[in-house]
Amino acid sequence: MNEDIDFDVVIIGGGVAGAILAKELTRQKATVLMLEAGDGETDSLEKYRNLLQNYYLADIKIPNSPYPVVRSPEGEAYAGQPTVLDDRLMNNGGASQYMLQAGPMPHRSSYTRILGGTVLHWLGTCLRMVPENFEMEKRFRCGRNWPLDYWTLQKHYQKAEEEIGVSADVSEQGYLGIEFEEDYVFPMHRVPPSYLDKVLQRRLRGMVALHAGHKLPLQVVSTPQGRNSTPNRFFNGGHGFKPKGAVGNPEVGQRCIGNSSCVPICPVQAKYNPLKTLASATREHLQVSARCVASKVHWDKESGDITGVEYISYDAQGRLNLEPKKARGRLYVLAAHAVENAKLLLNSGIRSSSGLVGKNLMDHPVMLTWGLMPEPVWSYRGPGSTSGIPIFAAGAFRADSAAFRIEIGNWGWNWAAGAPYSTVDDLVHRKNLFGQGLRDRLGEEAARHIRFGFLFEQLPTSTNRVEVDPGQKDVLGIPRPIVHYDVDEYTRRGMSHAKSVSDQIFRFAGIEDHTHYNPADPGYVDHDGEGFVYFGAGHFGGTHVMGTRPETSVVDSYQQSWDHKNLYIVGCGSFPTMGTENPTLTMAAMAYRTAESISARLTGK
Amino acid sequence: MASSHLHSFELLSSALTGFSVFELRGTGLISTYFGLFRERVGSEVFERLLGQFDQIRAEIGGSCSSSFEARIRREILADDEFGVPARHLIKLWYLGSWDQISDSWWNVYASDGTNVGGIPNASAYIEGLAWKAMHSHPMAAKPPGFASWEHPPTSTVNSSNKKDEP
Repeated sequence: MNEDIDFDVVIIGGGVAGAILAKELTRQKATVLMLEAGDGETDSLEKYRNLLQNYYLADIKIPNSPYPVVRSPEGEAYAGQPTVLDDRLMNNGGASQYMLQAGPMPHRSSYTRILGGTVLHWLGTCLRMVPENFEMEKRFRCGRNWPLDYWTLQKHYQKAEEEIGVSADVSEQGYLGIEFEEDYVFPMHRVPPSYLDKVLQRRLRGMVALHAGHKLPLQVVSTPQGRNSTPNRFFNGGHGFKPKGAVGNPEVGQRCIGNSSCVPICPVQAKYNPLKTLASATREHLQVSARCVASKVHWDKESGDITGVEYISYDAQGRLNLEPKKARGRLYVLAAHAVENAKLLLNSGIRSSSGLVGKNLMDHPVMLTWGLMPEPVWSYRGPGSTSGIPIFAAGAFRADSAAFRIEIGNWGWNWAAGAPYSTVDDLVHRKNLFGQGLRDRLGEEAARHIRFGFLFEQLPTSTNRVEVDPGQKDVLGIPRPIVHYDVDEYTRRGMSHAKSVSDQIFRFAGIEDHTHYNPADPGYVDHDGEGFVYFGAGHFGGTHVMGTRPETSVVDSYQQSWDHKNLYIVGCGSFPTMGTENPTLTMAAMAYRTAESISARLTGK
Repeated sequence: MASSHLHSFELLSSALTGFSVFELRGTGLISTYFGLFRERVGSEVFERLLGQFDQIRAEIGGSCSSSFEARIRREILADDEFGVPARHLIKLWYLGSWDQISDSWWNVYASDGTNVGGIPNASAYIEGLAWKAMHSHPMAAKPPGFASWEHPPTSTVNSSNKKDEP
């Protein structure tokens, strides 16, 4: 094996958690090696422009579509990743998918292995978890408890909000137990709500929804976002805030200018992406090696100490370096994603004393409802979502059914039906329109398209899990992740309640319902005779759960492994519960907490 | 002659899409689509379709009359040979992507040409007419500016669809 230079910290994974740790630790003058399995052609202005070209030319504009993948001569990706199209079960046409779906239901989310990670194509929704998420077991006798509470995480949330650059107004965000430090303001004012948000707000004024036997007033609330808006001059004790623009071209991207393509790519980088964090790390202490796939973690069987991470590298032309290398450091951080962390650990013989590595896999299943507003709302403009209806994200009903967050979509039926492609198809082929009639009708209909997304919590369960099998290897000879997944009755009851709420909203606002769920859809589930379809929000979590004891968890509240003292396993995989909030902000806050712990250790404090 | 073919193609595209020749020229894609369309449906179908369109034009005289539209509908869109290429051309203009043509048409009518689908270039995606018809913009291009999404699109200001703001 090659003799590699020793580093203070070896970080596996160049996504948001890895980038935050790299920046924090190099700032403290620690030497950091970051290994990224995927390509590295993302971190300059010119490379980013190539990503945009990929998007323009993509036939199907799925979340991964801009991001290049280096392949073997046979066409297999060296850093395999699941796309949203990989929803076939392994024994029903899905045997060649990278992330094997053992079922019974497909996990419908995707992730991207490239420098910058999956957050390159996130929407930007940046919500703090409601306090009761941290103590589900204590309050509702289901789920698990976190080994820390909302208030412990509060200052880390603030750091994350500063690094990401979150736009929101505190006055709107103090609901469902969320509280802020006195005089706290977000770095930037809320992103202007869309015209659609305002029409909906007007049409829902005074509405009370019946949910699980309780009546609740509905409020349309701006969603905090990692997206550049007007800086708040009171931020940071009056020092204000300078938005971070595009990497390599900081004057571009100072404000969102309405490209309406957040997922999968913001052309001007007004939306936060982890490349910004990497670019602002102390580069003299940081070595970033892309196209290096960690294959095994070596550890001493006596002490449990990690002695090195073995990895395989390839070049941009797809040539493999057949000689495996080993990265060595004083401390190791796995930040490769909930699934990839679990896969790497399992392939290294690490299941943890608790046996929970890979278990408790969760997502946010997303159910869509869509229709035609009674007046134009001028959809297909602005960020993917600027507002939501948060009221169902918390409450006593969680003892019985899943909480959900309502995301109000600004992009019409794009996700639900493939509009405007599907709309043009329908008008030309079925409605036999052409010329001015086609132009007018398309304009008139699309202007009234509205779509709601319901993001559901899932409970942690050991049957939802990631496993590996030496008989199922990828092109590098590394066993691939095998996902066992289901959507249980708790979540299905939530879906049923949510559909009822959706129906009430449609009736109250006068929306013509066009929602339909096809029993042949891979995400079709039923409950009490009603059928629904779920998609994946792209939020994998739970696979290396945090807790208070090694018997019942994989890592402690600093994401330090109980069994391997020089190992940290970070990311959404540490989450004991998922709640309904998009997890990136909480993941980032936890990364700051871990960074503090690692820094203290390195400096001996 | 080549230039009169191009002009016929412009006028045909305008009649099928509901966008003026001026607007179509503004996309910069007329000659690209002219070449692509002929490639995709084959030169013989191409010539016959333009010929049919030219005949309608010559006999009707003005392009805004309902009888002109009726003849386009009956003699092109409803025609077994011309309907398929015409609808594909509408979608090419609207969405910037060419759909592969079904075997059932191809086996009967195509004599030459290459039957493949796809987006010819980035401009085709960006200049898609659908976005203009929707008073929007192509996702990831032509951004209308900060806070533009807070108000109705400016292209609707003078139309009868304008609604007072909430």
